[in-house]
Amino acid sequence: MRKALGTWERFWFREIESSTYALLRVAFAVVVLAWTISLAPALYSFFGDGGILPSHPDGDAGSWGLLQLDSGPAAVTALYLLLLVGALCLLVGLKTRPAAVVVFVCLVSFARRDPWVLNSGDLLVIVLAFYLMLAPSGAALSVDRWLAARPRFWEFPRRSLWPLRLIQVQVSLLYFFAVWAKVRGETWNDGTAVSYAFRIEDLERFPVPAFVTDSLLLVNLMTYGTLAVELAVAILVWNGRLRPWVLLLGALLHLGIDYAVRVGFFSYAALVAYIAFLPPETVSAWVYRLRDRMARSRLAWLVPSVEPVEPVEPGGRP
Amino acid sequence: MQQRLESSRAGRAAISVFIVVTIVSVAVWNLPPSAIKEDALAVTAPYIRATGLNQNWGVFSPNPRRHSLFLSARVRYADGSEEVLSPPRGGALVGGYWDYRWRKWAEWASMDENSELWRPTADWFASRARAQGRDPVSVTLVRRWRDLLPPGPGPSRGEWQEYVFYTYQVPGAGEAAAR
Repeated sequence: MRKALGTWERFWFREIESSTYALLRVAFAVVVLAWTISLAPALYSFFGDGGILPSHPDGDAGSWGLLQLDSGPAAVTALYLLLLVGALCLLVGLKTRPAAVVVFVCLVSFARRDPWVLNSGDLLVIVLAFYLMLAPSGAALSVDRWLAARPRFWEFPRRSLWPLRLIQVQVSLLYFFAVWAKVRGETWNDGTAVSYAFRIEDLERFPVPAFVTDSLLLVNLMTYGTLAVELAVAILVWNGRLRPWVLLLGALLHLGIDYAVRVGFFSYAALVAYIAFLPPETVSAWVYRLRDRMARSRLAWLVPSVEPVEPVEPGGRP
Repeated sequence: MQQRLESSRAGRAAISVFIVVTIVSVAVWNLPPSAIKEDALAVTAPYIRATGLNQNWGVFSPNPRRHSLFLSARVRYADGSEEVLSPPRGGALVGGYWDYRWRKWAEWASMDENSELWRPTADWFASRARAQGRDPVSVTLVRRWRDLLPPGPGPSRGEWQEYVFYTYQVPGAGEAAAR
């Protein structure tokens, strides 16, 4: 029992450098900013009371959203601007925790106002917003850090792993259940599913040549390959040695989907989620390399406190 | 505060309960339809909805759609003319990042089981026509589709078909013309 408790403690509560949290925050904020900007042309058509869904849908138990109170143009505009400001604050790490809460509340409110215009990628953005709200994502590389401990800006204070672990487990579960849902389908079993997915004209983005979608051999390989990659991300991602390769395959799969199908931000949200699997030491090393390169370039003015600082907390690297 | 919580045994116990509840709830939400899922959802679904974790990664499952589908609206004007309007569509490079929401909406709004969306959809097309200074009298919603045939030798797609599924008489239509 004691051993099991020890394993649980190490798995969830081990402290790590906060560099992965920082990278996750910045990447997520970039996606949310792009997501928000892409919403602008249809904002009132989707969410306003003069749009395609004049009244807020009735929510099931547990459902909530700020636009339930009012979805007039002023309320929709205010929520939109709040999301924009929240995403910008999250990007630079200013009042990071409140900004993460604002982003989460705004995203959920838009999603609940008109669920008919969202796809799985939009919902994944909300899932990530929820976990980022729990994470110490402003602990490093943030305005908050700059204001609180300017001389130690380039250090990565150690923080508990559990919010990052939750994202890892969520990603693993999602791929596992995605495979489970697919293997119940006839076309995933006969190896033709990818051919259909690439030929749906209303979802087509860049064309996939007919010799690919009509070749039974190629579509079999792509269909079974998709299942294999998704299952690998679900399970083999927990093996440290295989993890980089599994994530690389997953990233290629998502970039392929993004090329061929109009899935919006689905692929980028998935790639942001992959950041949770990056070892903090690796991310710290990337950041230091980028900092040093920038400090030697004409962009030096962009690098705060370029004086090398010896780490005070364990794990920091000058 | 979070660090204080994490540094105490009681705090870690509370976080552990939260972790277990969250993972179990997410797992239940994603289970295939079953009796156990139905029973468990009665307890876990409100939590999942409140936290926004109601993610369903069922993209192209259990099967991808086996037809292409487009929604359009035939708008008849007070002057007797007619026009076909469609949801906005962007280019491949940038458009794919904003018009996918219109595609999603068109897919849902074309389904027989979502008839509650038909009137607001038709009304929205009418308002689009009015925004162009026209006077719409009626809006007819049409779905066009063609089947995707199994891959291999032979044609890859069937013939286009269309079906008129809703006609909407615009309230107060023709008043401008009458004046």
